[in-house]
Amino acid sequence: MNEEKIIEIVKSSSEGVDLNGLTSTTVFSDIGIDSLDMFTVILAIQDALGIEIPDSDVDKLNSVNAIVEYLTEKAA
Amino acid sequence: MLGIHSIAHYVPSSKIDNVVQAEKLGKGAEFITEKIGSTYLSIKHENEDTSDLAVKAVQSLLEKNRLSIDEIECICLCTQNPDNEGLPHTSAIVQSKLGSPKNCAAFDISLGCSGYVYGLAAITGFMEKARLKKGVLITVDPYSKIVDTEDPNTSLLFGDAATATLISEEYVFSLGRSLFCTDGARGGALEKKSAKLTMNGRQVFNFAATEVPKQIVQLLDEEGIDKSGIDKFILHQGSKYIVETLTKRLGLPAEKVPIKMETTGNTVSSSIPLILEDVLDYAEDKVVLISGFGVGLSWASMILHRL
Repeated sequence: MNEEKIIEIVKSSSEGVDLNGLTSTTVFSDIGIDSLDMFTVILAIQDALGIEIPDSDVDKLNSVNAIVEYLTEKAA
Repeated sequence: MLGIHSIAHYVPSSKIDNVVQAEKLGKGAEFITEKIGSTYLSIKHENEDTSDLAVKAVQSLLEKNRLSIDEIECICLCTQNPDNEGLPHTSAIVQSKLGSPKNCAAFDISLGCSGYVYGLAAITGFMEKARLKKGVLITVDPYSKIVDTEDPNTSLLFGDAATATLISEEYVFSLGRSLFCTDGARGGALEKKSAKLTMNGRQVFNFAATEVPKQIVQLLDEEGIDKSGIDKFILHQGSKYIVETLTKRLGLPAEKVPIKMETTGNTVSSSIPLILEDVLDYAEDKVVLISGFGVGLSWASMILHRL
């Protein structure tokens, strides 16, 4: 899953959050994406890829880049 | 045939300011209003036990319908936070406090947020078998007994309330097709440990967001109707966020999915009847789907038809 697709998921999962400043390195919580929005983001990624992301990995998925790197590693 | 005739409730007047509480736990006001959906949480008075909340809801139901307690032949009470840890069963305590005659059947069922849907099937099935004409389904689960006020995962969500539903041969809604599911293997996501409630928010969210829409779609398929054939979808009010998530995942118009938890919080098995009580008065809502989900993990959905 590439950066563009992740950004698309984050945008569709974070209604009401101003995402104008979102870049691949933006820390989600810094722009108001909260834990519940992240539940939706991660569920959408799981659904799209048919994978299970364990609770222990969720905290480190705090930016678009972090998610891309995590998924690349997981696929390797 | 039996169905839902009337619903009444008791919501304690005592409230917790959830915004103030959230700030103490490091959460902002916007999180409470936009995501949790409850600015205030209702909380029972210190001197009230579970049975007291139930008695007040039933008294309100009797008054509303000008009924005498002598006419009630069955009490089914749904709780997981009973008086005296459940022995004797709370429905028997309620029967006594109401001054109900001894020939009144009384039993408890142990379920959380799916409890109202299960309870409707349980009490009507029991009453039909026992040939009873009037009964009351009570939902009452005061989570304030087990919520850890320092735990942001749970303390911002739950409120106390009780409801009483009159089951009678003279009904407004008949009970239609239903589906009931359980996944005990994932029960650890929401459980009591050392007398306090614990919740893995992500696991509960994933469960609700994936299983509930599947069940509702299956129920509609089995009934042979489209989503547009349902006038109201009354979903358990877990949080504003989960109700909105389910609304989106099911592709429903928001106006068909009421949200009512602003001054109560998530009242567990009472959240559906608190909304259904209002819907009973709207004659244009002819076909209603109710869906409860939570502790167990357990989820249940049912279609109701107006007479």
